[in-house]
Amino acid sequence: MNDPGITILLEGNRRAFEPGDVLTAEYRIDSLSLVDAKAIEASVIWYTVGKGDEDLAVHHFVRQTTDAGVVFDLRRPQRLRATLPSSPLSYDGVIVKVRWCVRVRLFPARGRELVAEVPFQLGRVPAAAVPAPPESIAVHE
Amino acid sequence: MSRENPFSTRAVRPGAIAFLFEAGVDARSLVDRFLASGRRGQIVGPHGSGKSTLLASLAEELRARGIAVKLVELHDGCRAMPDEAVAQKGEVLMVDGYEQLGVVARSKLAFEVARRQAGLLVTSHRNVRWPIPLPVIYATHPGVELAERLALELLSRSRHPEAVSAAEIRGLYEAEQGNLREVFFRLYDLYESRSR
Repeated sequence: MNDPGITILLEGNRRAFEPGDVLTAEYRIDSLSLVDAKAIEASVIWYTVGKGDEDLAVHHFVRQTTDAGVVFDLRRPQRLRATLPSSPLSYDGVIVKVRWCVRVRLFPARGRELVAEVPFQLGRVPAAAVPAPPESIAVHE
Repeated sequence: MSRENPFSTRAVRPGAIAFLFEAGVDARSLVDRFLASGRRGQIVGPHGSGKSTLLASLAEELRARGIAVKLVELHDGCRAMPDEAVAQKGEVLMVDGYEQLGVVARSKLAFEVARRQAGLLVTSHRNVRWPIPLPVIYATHPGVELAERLALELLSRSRHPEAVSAAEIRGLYEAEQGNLREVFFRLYDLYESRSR
């Protein structure tokens, strides 16, 4: 779920990429109450969704922080640019699915961190076939 | 509204869904009980009854009070604590699956926690009284109503809330003899077969 206050835009509103493509995104903080954040992280990640153990890897990562006295102006849009790898490709399986997204995490001066994500497709692997329905279930009305 | 299967691991793992307490009890009152018990306690309940989820809720409450927490999850057949699972002074060590530890490992753990002036909160399938009796701060009781409430709530956030009926949830609960984790696995398959 995306927290309000962070907007991520993929260049050209593009949502499908091929390996080797360059993904460009712009992200900005919409709320003036958040511009004094301690840090902001932007990443291009993939993760699995499914029934068993989960996996996640960071392909590209940028962090801006005020820890070392660095000042950054979050009122201005920030840019992220990453060349996409050849694997893993997006996959819509039954037991496991591979998802790619651009994720931005904002660490405000006070309160909990905020997160926003924009999903995208990498490659063109067809979705898995519809599984056979599981065995019948006793229904208790 | 999520496009994902509402019963996927990320949606049902401990911490992802809130623990549903009995009336009159909440995370705050249980943490009060734990602290009043000298920072010792255990959560007791059968497989898949929500112990890990409750532990995650209590960890959140402890952290909100400024108390550091270290969580150790013991998997099947784990008879000893991992070497890196050492609590620091003032920290609360949470051990999920405490009953799997052997007696020697439990004795060593009790000694280490006392020596470091740390807290100890564990989950267990049964009330473990030896070598140190840990006060039972909560006993989880799975029930068909709880399973139905949780499953319908998860479904309501999905794109296909109609994919599984309440009657089917109750049927699965009975088939899996009250093991909520297994019920969620079965619901995952059912949702997947009906929503693609």
